[in-house]
Amino acid sequence: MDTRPLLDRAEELSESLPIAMAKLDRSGKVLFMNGASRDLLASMQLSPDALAKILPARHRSLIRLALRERQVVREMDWAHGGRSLHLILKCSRDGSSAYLFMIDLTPQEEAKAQLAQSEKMASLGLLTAGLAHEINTPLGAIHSNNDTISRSIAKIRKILADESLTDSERRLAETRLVDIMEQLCQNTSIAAERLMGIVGSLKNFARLDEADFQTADIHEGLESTLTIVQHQFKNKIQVVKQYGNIPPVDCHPNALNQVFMNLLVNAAQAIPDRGTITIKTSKKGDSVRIAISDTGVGISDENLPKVFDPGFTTKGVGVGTGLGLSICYKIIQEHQGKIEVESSDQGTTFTIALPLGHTRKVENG
Amino acid sequence: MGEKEPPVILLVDDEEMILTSIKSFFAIETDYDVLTYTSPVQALQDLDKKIKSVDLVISDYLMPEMDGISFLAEVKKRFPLVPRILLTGYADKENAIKAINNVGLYQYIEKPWDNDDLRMVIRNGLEKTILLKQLEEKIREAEKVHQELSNVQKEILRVFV
Repeated sequence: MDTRPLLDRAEELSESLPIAMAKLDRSGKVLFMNGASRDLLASMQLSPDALAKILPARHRSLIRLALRERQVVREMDWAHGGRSLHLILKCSRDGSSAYLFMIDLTPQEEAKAQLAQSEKMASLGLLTAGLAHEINTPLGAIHSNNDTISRSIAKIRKILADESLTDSERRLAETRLVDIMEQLCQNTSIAAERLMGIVGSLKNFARLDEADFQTADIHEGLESTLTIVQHQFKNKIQVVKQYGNIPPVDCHPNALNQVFMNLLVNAAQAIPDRGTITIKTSKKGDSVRIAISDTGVGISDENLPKVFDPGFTTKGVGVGTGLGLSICYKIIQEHQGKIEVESSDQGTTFTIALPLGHTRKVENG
Repeated sequence: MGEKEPPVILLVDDEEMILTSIKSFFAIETDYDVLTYTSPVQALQDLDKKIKSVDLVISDYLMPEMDGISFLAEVKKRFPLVPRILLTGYADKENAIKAINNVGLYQYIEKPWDNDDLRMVIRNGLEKTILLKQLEEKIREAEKVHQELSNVQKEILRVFV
């Protein structure tokens, strides 16, 4: 039987496929490549026959292994030349050759990165607004005090130069001005201290200089986060702290602070008028628990399972990116912890459990 | 005419440091009588009972008991002609603009403020109050004169007719 027309037909078919596909031999050498493959490689500025060489050694050995062991399907990810590819290898039954499908995930990856970035910017915006408010009060005081003190000094100079005044008149005027200046100096130092506290909280919140896992005090993180989001609460929300006796936790403090911030801001936004946010910490077995509850409107049963889904939001366009809670979820997962949500029309509680595991084992061992 | 009473300014901010700053500035640059309150609720109580007259009211926006816009709205109910100024450290101006439109504020000032600007805004506000007061007084005087004239007219008519 002449298989030629059939093969031609197969080649024509694969040529028209929108998915990049290549046929490899046992050694990983390219036997055949369709148009989509050639386009993809061209967009990565690779020549088609370079694929076998360009693929990282790990991937090449995986391909060889898959062929040798005749694994039917093998999947791997490959980032190269600014592109993220998902590779699917499908071996022939006899293990003599394999089809390699290359799916370009770059647009999706870019969209994901962009969304994560916009969430970061949104929380940065929030942070900036909060800080601007916290800073403007002491800054306003210092700015005004300095101006008033300069004016007082000018007045004192004038009094000293004014020969028409009697000594007692002069003394009276001077005493009054000096008293005011003294009061303003005290006021300025209170304001400066306040500013220093804000900067300290910010440093503690961001911990930009410390990217690694470290042992940190959860309460400290909660407190500095509260300082930053406080301005949103001032009018309507009472914060109740029920801090338990908890040991320090191995964590990414800045990442955890981002989780606290997202949860606190969500809690505040869930409260339409006046209400309470309760922050409760406790130690339970081998984990530390942090529960943040609000007396807000609650999350409907229908929406509750979706709250951690990326992109899910009920806040409306321009308010939420729908990523806050999915980022929280990811961060807690990276800590090998758990985040859970409970809600009724009386309010919502998010509970985080962080393992105390590894450090203690090291210490005990 | 006797000694002119200094203008009375009511200043409300939950931050003591703001009250001290502004009060001190006015103490050295003006003769204003500045009444300061950290609590808007207390300020309203005193406005109802203790304070006889007030010429201008300045309030912070974000305060725990009551926000500045609600406070100034309450002030308006009691003293509709007194200029009201919102002093805000809030980052977005949306609230302030909303307030100006809803409550009919005279002005709003952002923290950190400039003392000269603050003084000018307040001086203009007080001038407005003074002019309104003078106008009221003139109207009252005119009415009085009118009354007297009509009395005289009646008298004349009584004598001659």
